[in-house]
Amino acid sequence: MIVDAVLNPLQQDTLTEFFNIAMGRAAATLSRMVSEEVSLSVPQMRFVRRSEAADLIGATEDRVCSVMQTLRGHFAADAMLIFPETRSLEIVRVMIGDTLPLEDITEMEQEAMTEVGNIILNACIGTLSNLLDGDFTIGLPSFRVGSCSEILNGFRPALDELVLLLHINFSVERYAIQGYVVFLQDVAAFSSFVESIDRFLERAMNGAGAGM
Amino acid sequence: MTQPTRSEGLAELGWQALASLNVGVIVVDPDERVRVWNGWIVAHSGIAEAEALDRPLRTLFPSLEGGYLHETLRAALELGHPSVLSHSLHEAQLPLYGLPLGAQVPLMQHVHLIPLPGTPRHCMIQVTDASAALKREAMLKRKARLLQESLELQHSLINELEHSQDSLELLVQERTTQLEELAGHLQDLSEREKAKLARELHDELGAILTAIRIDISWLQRSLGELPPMGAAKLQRMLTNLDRGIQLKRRIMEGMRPTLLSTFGIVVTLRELVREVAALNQWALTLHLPDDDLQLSEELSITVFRVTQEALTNAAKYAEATRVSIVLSVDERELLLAVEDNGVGINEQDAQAPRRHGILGMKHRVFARGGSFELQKVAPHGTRVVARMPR
Repeated sequence: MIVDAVLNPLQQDTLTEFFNIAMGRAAATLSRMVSEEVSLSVPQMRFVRRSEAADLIGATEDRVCSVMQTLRGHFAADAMLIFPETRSLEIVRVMIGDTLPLEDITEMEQEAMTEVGNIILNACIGTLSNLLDGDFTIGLPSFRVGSCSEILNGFRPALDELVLLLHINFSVERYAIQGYVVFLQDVAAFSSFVESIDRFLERAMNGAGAGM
Repeated sequence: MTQPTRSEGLAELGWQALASLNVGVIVVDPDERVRVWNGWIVAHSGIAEAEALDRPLRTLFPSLEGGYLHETLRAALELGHPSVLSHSLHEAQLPLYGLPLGAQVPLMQHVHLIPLPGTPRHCMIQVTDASAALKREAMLKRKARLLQESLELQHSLINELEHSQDSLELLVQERTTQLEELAGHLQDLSEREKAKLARELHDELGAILTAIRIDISWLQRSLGELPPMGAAKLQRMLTNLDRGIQLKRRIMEGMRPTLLSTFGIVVTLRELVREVAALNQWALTLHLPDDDLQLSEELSITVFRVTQEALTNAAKYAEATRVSIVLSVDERELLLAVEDNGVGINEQDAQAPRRHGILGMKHRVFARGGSFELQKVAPHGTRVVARMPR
């Protein structure tokens, strides 16, 4: 079951808007890099249990590509970008202009995919750290290919905690790909997270505005 | 002289390790001034450590100003965002060169921007040489391309071969049809010639021979008592003349059975089969229609000739003791089957050119748009089956 109830509609809309602005920045960066129109959007954002996130992302045996960055500071979280393997290969090949695709992802393609993930994750992490107004150490991105459950459960102990799941639409030229950004975080992070959204909304309502 | 403390010793070791690393390391402070410039960077940039230290990176590498790497460096310093800059998406990001430097070959590089913890925030720029990996991948792709090209070539050759085979089959089919048409035409022509010759033998030669026979008979009667030698000569003349008339009749029958035009196919077949069976002492089974069949002249001749040829084969090669003939018709087709209990025929004999008789039967049936089969009969024997449209 999806636990949309943890955020009220206003909090949910606000957070989605934050992430959409972040994606706009990431898309502009990517477009400039590959000289192609790249578009990125977050049509949906929700809190779900980790097991539900794995179900939503794909069948257990589906292979996915992931790029992960750790976030350590006054709370700990792992941010992960997840795309289906074959589709991400297609899109990365469009971006690096490869005319002869090989069956497996090559070292260069893996580097390129890592960079693309890094740009998207940095944008999301920037949004979160601004909102939470915290000081964090962000880890370098690491690339991994595996099944959904290997990727989602491989980094942390098997707790079925709440995760923040962003559904992402990513398109370059005629290629479109649907992926996810997942934030795996501890419980403390979640409550301070909700409080931060409320603080932001309060400031906005009072006409103070807020920097993102 | 004082001994270095443990932490001073470690720091010294760290510096030495940094200087000897096989990757490039630059550390800049929040103002982008160089704090660390390791040996690898010295080797690939041609800028000495002493020259670089404390100077802003963009003055050492003016091409960076305002570019993407500079932008990400700012984000690393201000926001603490680490970044990966891959060779695939950015070529020659820092103005570094392969060794020897004099050749000025731009270095293919992966760059990592790693914000360092602490206040104020510094950033480490780590550069790795991507040339070897790129070379490896280029080779892999070249091989994959060759493989793909060879597969495409193989595919096109197979296509071409299949196309040639199709054309050849079509040509063979076309020639076979032409030959069958020609064979049919020649058989029809031959039948017509035989019929014409038979008519002439009957009408012309027959009339002459009959006139001579009448005259000789008259002479026998009219001359009265003849010397014995004369009477014997006249009698021998008459006997030879009768043999000549018999010979003419047999030739005529062989060319064009008069029974066929007079009594039709059923009676003719019955007579033919009885005659050959009697000659070869065969037991005979006949399944023929009770009444005569209305068939075209060509079809009647074909049925007659195929039966005749099948019986000739049975007599010549089969050593049969029993022969059966079936002739049946329905609205659309006619079936003729001639079966014997002889030694049978093997595949090789059936195919051999010397068996012109079999080929002749086959062509006659094909020329009438029919099908022809030579079947083995258990335990031994042969069955000729012809089906032709009416």
